[in-house]
Amino acid sequence: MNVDWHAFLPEAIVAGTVILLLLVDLILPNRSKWTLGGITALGLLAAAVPIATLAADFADGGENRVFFADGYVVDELSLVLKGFFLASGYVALLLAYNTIEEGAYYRGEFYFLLVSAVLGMMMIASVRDLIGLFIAFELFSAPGYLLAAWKKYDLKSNESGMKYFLMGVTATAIMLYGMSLLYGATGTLTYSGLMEVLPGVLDGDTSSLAILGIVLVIASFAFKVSAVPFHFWAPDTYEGAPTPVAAFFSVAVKGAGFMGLVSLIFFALPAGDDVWRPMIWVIAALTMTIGNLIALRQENIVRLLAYSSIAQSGYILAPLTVAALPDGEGFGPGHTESLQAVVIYLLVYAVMNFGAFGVVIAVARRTHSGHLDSYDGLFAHAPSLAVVMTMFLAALAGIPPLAGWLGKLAVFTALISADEVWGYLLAVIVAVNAVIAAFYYMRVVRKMFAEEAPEEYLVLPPLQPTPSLQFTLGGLTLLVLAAGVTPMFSHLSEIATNSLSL
Amino acid sequence: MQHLRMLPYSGLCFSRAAPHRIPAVGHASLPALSTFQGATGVAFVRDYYMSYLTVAAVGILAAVLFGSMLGVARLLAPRNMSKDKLSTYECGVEPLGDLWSQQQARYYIYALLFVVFDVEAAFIFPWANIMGSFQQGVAILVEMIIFILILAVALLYVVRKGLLRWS
Repeated sequence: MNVDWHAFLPEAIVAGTVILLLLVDLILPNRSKWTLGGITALGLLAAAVPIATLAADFADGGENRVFFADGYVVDELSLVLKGFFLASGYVALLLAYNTIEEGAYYRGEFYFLLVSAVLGMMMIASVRDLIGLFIAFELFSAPGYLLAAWKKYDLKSNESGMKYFLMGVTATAIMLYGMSLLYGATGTLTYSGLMEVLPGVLDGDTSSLAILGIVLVIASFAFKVSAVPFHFWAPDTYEGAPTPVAAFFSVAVKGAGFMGLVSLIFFALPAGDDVWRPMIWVIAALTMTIGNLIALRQENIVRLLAYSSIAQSGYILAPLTVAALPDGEGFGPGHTESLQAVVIYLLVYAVMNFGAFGVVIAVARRTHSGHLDSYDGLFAHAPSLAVVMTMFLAALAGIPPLAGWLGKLAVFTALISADEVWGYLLAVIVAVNAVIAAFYYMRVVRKMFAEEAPEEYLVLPPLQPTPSLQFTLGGLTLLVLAAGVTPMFSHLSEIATNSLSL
Repeated sequence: MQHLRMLPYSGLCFSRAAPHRIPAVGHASLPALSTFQGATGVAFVRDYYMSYLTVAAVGILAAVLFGSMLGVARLLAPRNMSKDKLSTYECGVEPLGDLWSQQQARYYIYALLFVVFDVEAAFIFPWANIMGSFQQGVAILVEMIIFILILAVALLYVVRKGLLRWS
């Protein structure tokens, strides 16, 4: 039972923050509960310090740190993703701060659940064990069900929480069933064990058990990343949940789903590629196409962003189809490129999607509406927000020099590097979808600049977002510009791919 | 090995009889669930249902034993019924109202709390079983104390929020 405490420190700090928040919330009187947001922020920032020192250690040629009976690995991929989840939690906190402080909501519990979810996400970046995967999966899912239903007296929010809960529990049940079949077929729970045993099992008599197990486990993650045909919960949940929570779901929860999928595909199930490769190919193609087509007809900005995020899931899934192509002893072309594409796209997607949701939150503070028509003439009464929103939407559409094109470039590079017919075919589908998507993103832009704003808003002074929103949107705008023209995200994703060579 | 292979897991059984299909995974290796290794065709079906013979025998024995005991009691015992003796709770509580009466919704909090500490107990039993066999007993003890303290925070939360008060 030797625990590498340095490697476990980020999670330990976040776990400590969770307990501290709960205790402080019990002691503090109502008027000083605003300090809880500060404690949350400090806890998340403090957890970033050991991540930085661990990263420095890896930069000096440090080895992967393995503990908890092979079930927990701290490598460079997990560090990059942990940093990503911490940052996502921090941004979600900033976006939610005013909503939560003003809305007479349960503040202490909100921050507590938010940080618990972040803890689960950080764990999923490191677990290399099916039981650990299940615990981490539940740890980031369960707080989500409560956060979705946070507006207690709002029917839509209750509906959102209920739908998310039922779908999430179904996904959990499916995953557990798949895991039990995998365990029955292979007799091992650790990823290292699966790597060793699975090739033999897939050639043996019990291969059908293992195949069914792989299909079910992959399907449960398709639920979490809201891939078609498991996407029905996403628009309703995002619409009903408080908008900052929807932003958190669409970025962080989805990122955690992808992290679980990536760790399974790269570290546990490469031998089962005949099973999951066609499955992910079909899911990816369906997800981007159906997500984009339905987004064309949306009249609510949050639902539009929800379908857009479904489509973006398809883009992130696409490169996984070229992962783990067998090539003699090792893996063929596209293996590292696909991981790199997934990581880059996740980082880029987080920046632009958080940005778009941030603007939606800021605008809704004046219009109290999510209808697309409330964006008519936004430039006239909230010029800065309209400009920033245009940048984020253009980034989502993939227009250079904003960050979005970088992710798409990585996806195309990965798909083409495999040099297979179906790889090119999927690349063509991605390209066609990028064009479809541009239409509905630009439709919002046209409304903001070309339509007439209602009189009631024009007589008001230009809309000023709250300080925390200004800070967040300013930072995200800088990032979306900087990431498009500097190699910062490419560099991070290259660091992440180091995990594959060890 | 025969008795292991005869377990009626719907045609599948845990079998150590096929070592070649169980690749070694160091100490973590466990017997894999493999298909039935024995006879095929009619013999397979016969063997399969024969393995239920013990179950059937025990079932018949149980029916005979319980039936005879209850039957003897029925024959020998004097029966002298009165209204009080036929009531649901003979010890005194009068059953009132309809069978389908509604329960207070607030009981669910007690159900939830019960689950919290039930799960805690479920973790502590196996832990207590293996505790002596580990080298670093103190570390394991400290871990369990931390675990219980974290759950105690949940109880503290419930107390502070006034959920245990019946208002």
